[in-house]
Amino acid sequence: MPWILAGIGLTVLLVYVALRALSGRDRARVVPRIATLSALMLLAMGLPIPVLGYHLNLTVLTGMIAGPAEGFIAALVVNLILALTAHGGITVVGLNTLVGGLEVCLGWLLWRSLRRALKRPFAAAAIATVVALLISTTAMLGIVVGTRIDPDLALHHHDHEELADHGHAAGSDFGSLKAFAAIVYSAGAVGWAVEALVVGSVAEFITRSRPDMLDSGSGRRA
Amino acid sequence: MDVQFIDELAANGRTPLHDALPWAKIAASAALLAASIAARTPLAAAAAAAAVVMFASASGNQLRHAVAMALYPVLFAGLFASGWIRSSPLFALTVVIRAFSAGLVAATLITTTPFVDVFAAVSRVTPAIVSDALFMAYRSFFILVDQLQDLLRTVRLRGGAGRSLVEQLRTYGQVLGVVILHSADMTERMYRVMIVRGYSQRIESAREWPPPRPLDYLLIAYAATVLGLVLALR
Repeated sequence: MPWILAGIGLTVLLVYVALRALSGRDRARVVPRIATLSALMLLAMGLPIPVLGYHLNLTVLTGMIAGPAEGFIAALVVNLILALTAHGGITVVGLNTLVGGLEVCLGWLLWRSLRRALKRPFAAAAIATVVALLISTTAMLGIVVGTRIDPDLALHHHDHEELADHGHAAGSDFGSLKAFAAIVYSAGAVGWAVEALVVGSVAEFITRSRPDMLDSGSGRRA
Repeated sequence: MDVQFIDELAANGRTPLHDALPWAKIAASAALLAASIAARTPLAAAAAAAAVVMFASASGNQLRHAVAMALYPVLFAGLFASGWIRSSPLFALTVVIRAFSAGLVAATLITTTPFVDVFAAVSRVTPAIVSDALFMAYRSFFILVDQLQDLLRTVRLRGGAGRSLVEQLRTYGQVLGVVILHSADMTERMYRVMIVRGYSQRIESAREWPPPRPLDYLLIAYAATVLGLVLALR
């Protein structure tokens, strides 16, 4: 429970920071932009990708197009809609938003850096995607490790006998965690490659058609 | 995720749960969700799940759709729980049951309550930008999904997305690129419409709800009783 509350608390704080950052902008422009980017993320999740039933999420692309402030709010909107449609845990909206928001921010940051260094937008976007997703997956695993340690969420409010049992099982917990991490990273690697290929293609296409959309300093974003 | 289907179930369903007032369903759902989270043993979690299934069964034939939706978070909870099967199987089982209950509560609420009503409630606790974006994102989704389906149909008519997986993914990327360009134009149109309509920092909900009926009180009493029992079991 403390992790859930911490996730919500930190999300509220970051939403406040994002709203402060957006306070000087025309709200009639900002709201539709966040809305369409959120809709695009939801749309991408429904694309029939023929690998492992993988869902695209386009958070990195959202960061590249919208920047961190609008992108973070878009990540929150998407997670709220997913939670309300039972496609995401309603109790972990905060934690999911933090992970999504991290991808958005890293996407924005990496794209800005790599775009200058690399000639091809495809390569810059694909690398930004893989790195951002690798880091966010590691952050997600960190949360899992954290919630395991947490006695409230890990159901360790039992009697002393059960507590002793859990103590004996600590070694196998670590083994299980390693197995869990191995599953997440190996399945994740396929997902990152899929996402990188799609985001790279989108970035290349947009750079050819509307280069201003991916120039996060221009103020004329989607 | 089939948001269109969910929208249709919520808007066109005729069951006792559809007739209940949105705020009563939201309050009852919140209490049942709290009960699911508060359950700390498999037994308590199973009892909460049974109570949630009973609540959801008031949606009649739609129950199977809600259950199917609730199985989705179970998949991820199962992955999460797999790390604890050996060391703490009871915890793993509880995690999976709780995920099902929480998923079924959310699925039942959203398949029996139009999104506009749910958003009206959400907008009371979220900043205006978030609630307005939530509302507009939901509407934009339906416009963009039509465009995406048209584009995918065109791709199929022209021989498909490609033979190799890489080709297919690149084609999907380009299709998404086209949709993103359309969405940029749509954003501009929405901006103009908002200016013309005098957007004043918030989209106001003009929805007025009728006075509560016995069914609404019954739902809330039921959910509160379930929550009380689960808390008593701790």
